[in-house]
Amino acid sequence: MVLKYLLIILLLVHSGVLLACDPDSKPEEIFTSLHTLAFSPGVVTLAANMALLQGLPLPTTWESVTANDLPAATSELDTQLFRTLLPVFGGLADKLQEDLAGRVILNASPVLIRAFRNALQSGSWQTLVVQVSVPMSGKVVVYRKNGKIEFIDEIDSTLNFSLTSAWPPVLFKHVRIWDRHGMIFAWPEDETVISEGVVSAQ
Amino acid sequence: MKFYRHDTACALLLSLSLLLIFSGQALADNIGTVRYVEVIAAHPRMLNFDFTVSRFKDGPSAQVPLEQLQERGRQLQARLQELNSLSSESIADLEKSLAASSKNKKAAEKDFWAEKEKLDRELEGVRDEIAANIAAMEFGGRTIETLILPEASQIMTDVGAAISNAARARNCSMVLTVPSPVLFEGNSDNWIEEGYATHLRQPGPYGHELMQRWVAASDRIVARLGDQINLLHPVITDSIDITADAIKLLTQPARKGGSSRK
Repeated sequence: MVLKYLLIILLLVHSGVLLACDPDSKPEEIFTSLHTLAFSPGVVTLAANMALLQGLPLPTTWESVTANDLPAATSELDTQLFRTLLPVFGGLADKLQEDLAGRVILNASPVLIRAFRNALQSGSWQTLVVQVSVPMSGKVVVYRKNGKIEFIDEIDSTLNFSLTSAWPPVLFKHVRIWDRHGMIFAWPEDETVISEGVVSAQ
Repeated sequence: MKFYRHDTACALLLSLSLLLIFSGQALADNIGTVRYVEVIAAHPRMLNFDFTVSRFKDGPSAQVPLEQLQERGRQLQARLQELNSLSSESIADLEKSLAASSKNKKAAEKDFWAEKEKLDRELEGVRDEIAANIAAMEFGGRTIETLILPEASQIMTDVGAAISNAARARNCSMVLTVPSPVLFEGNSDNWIEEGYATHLRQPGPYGHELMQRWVAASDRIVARLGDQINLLHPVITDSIDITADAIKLLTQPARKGGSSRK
């Protein structure tokens, strides 16, 4: 009830808010920023993906783990994290094999955070979309000690997260988590169609 | 549907007759008539129009011979095989490097991924070309409709300009299109009349939808060129038939005022 009154007062006194609620106004980017963290959170998703991927046997130790496109300190942390996580996830998935060796080149990019206003297809109120993308891919070679390659491919485990709310943000409408293979989590569940805001955010 | 059209046509002719009776003979000499379909067919570019496939025989919209597409398909398959074998070879090379001393492994790994990226890009391009080639063969070598639209649009503009100029030369303040003597069927091609009506209302570029219908139904033009009778003559006894003038302007561009593109 209090929120309702607050909203009514805001609408009456603040012309900026009135403009923001204009359904005809074009999508407007509020901000876009790139963040380089101390370590790349994408390493966790890559390790999890590799443990879950069918037909990818995992070595107990990795012969070489290198990282591209990031400062040396971040690269070091990423490689250490990868070397630590893979045996754990591999053990949980029961995919570790002693006679294998592996090489991986990690390719992490800064985390992208975007916020923008957009109109729903149904019109009327605009939405606020906050999107976070954690890009990460790994060029993986798993081979036997004699050199025979068991698996070789580039695995893209970029993870995207989006939160769609009404504008002004008083009501959350959608939460989506997806990767390049499709939707991982969606709330509400019954709405399988990705909202316009999420599509334009991709 | 036929009854409806018949009734509509009768009503139109009747109202036209009444209009002329009341307005007197003074206006008759200012009214021109044109057999629109005939003027379109007389356009120089229409000589190269293949009605069986609804495409021009030359230019960007020309039908591609199936043999040419098959040959292209063979070339693309050969290139695909070549790229696949190159990919297998590079994996085999990497395997050899991995089996050898650990010294060169890093360089071999780097080279492999760089080459793979290049090969993957090329493979994707070849696969896309193969898909496009297969699609073209499925349509018997016929090109997509959008390729004909610029030329169709140009023809309509030229025809419109020729008719306008012919009408101006004969001092016609109004030009009526001669209705088709062929009865409309279920899938009638009244787009010709619609096109002309659009031209009269708003001369200039036509919508893509109209152009698409122009292309789709163009094979039916020929059937209507047989016995073109000026059905308006009994009604507008003193009207001027400007069809021949318009055709002359279209086919003799040196006289100027006909086609807008020489």
